[in-house]
Amino acid sequence: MKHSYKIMAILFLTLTVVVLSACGNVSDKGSDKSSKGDDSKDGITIKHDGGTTKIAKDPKRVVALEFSFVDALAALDVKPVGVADDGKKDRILKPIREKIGDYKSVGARKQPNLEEISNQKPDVIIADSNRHKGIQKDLEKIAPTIMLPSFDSDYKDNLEAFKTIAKAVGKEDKGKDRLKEHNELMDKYSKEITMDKSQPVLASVVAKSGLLAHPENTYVGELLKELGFDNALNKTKTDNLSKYLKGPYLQLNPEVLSDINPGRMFIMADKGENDPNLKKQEEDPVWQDLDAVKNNRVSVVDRNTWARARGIISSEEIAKQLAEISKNEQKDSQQK
Amino acid sequence: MIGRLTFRYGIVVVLILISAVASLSIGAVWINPFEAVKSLFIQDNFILNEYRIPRMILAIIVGSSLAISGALIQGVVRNALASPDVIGITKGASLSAVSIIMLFPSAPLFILPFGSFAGALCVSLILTLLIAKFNVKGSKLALIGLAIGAICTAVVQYLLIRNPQDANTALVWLTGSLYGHSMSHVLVILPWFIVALPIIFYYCHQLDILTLGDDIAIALGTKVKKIKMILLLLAVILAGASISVVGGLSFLGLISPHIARRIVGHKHIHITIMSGLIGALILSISDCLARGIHPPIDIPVGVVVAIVGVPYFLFLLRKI
Amino acid sequence: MIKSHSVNRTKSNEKKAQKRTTLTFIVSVCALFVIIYFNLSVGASHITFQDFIDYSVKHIDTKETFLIHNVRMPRMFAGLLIGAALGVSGLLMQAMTRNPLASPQIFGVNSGASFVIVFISMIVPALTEYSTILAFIGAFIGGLTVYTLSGSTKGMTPIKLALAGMAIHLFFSSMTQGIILLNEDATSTVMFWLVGSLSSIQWPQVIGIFPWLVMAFIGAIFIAKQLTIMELGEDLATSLGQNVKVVRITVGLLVIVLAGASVSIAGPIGFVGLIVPHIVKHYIRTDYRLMVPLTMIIGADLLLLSDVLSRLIAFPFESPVGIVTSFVGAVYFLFITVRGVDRL
Repeated sequence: MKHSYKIMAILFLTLTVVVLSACGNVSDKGSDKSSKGDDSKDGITIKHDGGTTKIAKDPKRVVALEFSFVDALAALDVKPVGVADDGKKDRILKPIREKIGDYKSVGARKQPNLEEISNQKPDVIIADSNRHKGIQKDLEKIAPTIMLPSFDSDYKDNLEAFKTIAKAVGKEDKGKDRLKEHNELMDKYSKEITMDKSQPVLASVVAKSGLLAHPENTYVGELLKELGFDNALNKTKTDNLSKYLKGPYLQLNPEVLSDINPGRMFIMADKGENDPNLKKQEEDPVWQDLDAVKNNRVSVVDRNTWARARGIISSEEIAKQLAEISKNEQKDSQQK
Repeated sequence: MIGRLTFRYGIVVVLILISAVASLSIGAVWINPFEAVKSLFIQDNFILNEYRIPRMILAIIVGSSLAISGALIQGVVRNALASPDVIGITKGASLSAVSIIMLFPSAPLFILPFGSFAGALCVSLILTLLIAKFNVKGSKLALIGLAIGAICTAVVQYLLIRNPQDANTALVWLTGSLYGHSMSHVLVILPWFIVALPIIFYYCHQLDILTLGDDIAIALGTKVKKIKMILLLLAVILAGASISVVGGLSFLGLISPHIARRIVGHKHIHITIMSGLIGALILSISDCLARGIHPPIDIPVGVVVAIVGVPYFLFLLRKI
Repeated sequence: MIKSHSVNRTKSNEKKAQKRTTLTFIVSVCALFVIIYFNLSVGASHITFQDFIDYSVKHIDTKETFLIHNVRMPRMFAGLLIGAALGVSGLLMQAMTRNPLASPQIFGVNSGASFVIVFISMIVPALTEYSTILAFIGAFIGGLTVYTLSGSTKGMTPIKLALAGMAIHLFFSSMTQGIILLNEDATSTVMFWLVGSLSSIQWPQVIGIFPWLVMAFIGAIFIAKQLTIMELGEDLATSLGQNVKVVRITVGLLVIVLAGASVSIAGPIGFVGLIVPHIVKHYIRTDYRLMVPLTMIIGADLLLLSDVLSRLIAFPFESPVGIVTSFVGAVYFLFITVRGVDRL
């Protein structure tokens, strides 16, 4: 009898812990919905991925936890006081860096340093709805926080997020103007890109494990489509290939690559032409046999600008680069 | 004899206090130690309240829980290599946690601790069953746990590869991190810590007898099976609760008991207490370093524990 | 009368054993050929038997033969060599430490090598050309640290060795994880490699490790007789005239070369070194001169088979072969543990 009592007691205690661990987190969620700052009628209410938040009018101190948000702020002429830049200032594109001037790094994008953020005493925090899901309530304890897609956003999502940010920092009109300017610029570049757009194009990152393709439903893929290109990896092909891989990027092995055989490739490399992964790829006979390689239609671009940055300014950069490449190609073919 | 032991306990406790204060001062923002201690009582500093104090307390409690869990398992399994990570408990918890992160990404986050605890419990249930039904001997139990752990790891790796988007979140969890934890997390593990400890102390004496070998223990009248099961369950609860809060932090359960044994000898009551203290100390120091080395970057604690713990452990090993 | 009976019995037992050994060899070699064929034919691209004839006999240049030559063949060769290498290194370790749980994975050799490779590719990418040699160094450091820290030859018990090995393994893998976490954008790509993968292996890499592995294989066969003696126990071996220390060092070096070379191009593939010796010991228990070659064949069998499986689990997507070996290896490991291993 005593024997089974002990077992019962222990089982009961176990159950209590399991329940407690669930409760502990739930109750915490409930207690911190009060946003700091004034709840006066002067605030703006923003609807975002994490709910609805009220922000005081004309926030002065903004903390951005992803590069695309920094891009958006720079496009609106707002200087963030804190940015999560992974500790590497040069991850931010030069034109953007110049616009935002000096800021305090709040650590890695994946795990922003909460102490530093609170130290900056921000009026509003802009965070990524996927990555920072876990710390949303911690951020809200510091300042009103809006959660927007960035990490897994595509081109169109990004433009939507831009509009939200514009509204949040009280520059809705400027936002609209800038967006118009952006669309005009993109049209202009699109016309300037004179390379043959009917050649299916493949954008991929070169990494240690091979090529990581960005098909049509990624940021770069969609952007290229907007500019008039035809993606080699369009919906039908990717449906077949990515059936077993969650997430839009596709790991290509040499066989699949030679099967796709795109007419043109944009390779996003970390260290430009001297990237060791790229060099290894170039030695691969399968690579050398590709149409794009044989016809010299491979362009090496900067991974930072093309894949990491994402935003209005950076997409304009990408378009500008494409126009440049186009011009060079024309020059080369004319010289022949 | 007693004096010498007290002296050693004293030193370790003092070290813990020092690192606790350091933990409060170090971070992205340097806070004067005296200020820090004062604020501990007045509770007026936001950074301290929200981040540092919970982290410090959590480090101490989780550190000692994992260490004591390791000591218990090493006693039950009678193998110096055993620890919650080695016999598959941590891996089982990791598997459930990673599965939840990958397969149900939209699930509310409070499910995670719940799920990982369930995972740990599953593995331990298998092991407990083996003791109950087959009376599996110590080393073999450890090996089976190891095999189960290896299977879990293989599946985890598979999930990581298939879902590269969420791989980051999963990896951080797997390494173990005190990032973003608040008082509510402390409250999750505290009651269990308080409840388990007295029960463990009660059984320490039995554990000493158990070390003599199953046959001798039975001859002396100990209910070997029952005790093994209870102790294993306690160990799992401590480890499971810790892991559910902090992630797959490994290593503490393995090295703390060894270090403790070098310092206080072989009586389990001492080993248990000293392991707890050492575990708390290592985790506390590691947390300081994790935050202080390169602010504002916050290195996951699991990495630092390995770097801090291993050299010391090997140094001890050499001394034999 | 009785004496001659027992002599006869021993003779017939010997004959039986010999028959069994030969049979084992024949079966495993045949299996090897079959598996090689599957290895070359299964995959994302459609390759038929006709294509093989085109490739090997007729030497025609088509898209398929191009793929066979540049993608499948180097990969198959690498799998063959590495499978054999990992198997033998496991066998050597288990013999040297007299611990059936030994393998390059548990002893920090694999993790030392992986750490170096990850370090180079993320932090000092300029050195990528020298990764093979540097991987050796990593394997060496891992192995050496374990060796020295488990005490002198006299005091080295299996447990101390295992403990030291586990500690070093955890140390290196934590640091590797740390580097990966801090360089987050590379995470998914390095993860693939870190589990152990045979994809994207090209001829230059295979040719790079070929000489090292061949030398090590020859070395292992030469030292096989010494291993048989060593298994009897240290004191007995010394009294039989063996220079235990020299043998130990040689074996250590062989393991480092075998495992280090493998890790440098395929990443740390786990469990092959642990499982293959156990399988081999089922059939041949004592004579290392036979065990070493059999280990090579069965190791190659296992890895190539796993490679085929890894291409099928998520067709047409490839999974890293390390996942298959880990899973299968772990299950097998559980199996032999539960069944009760008398050797443990």
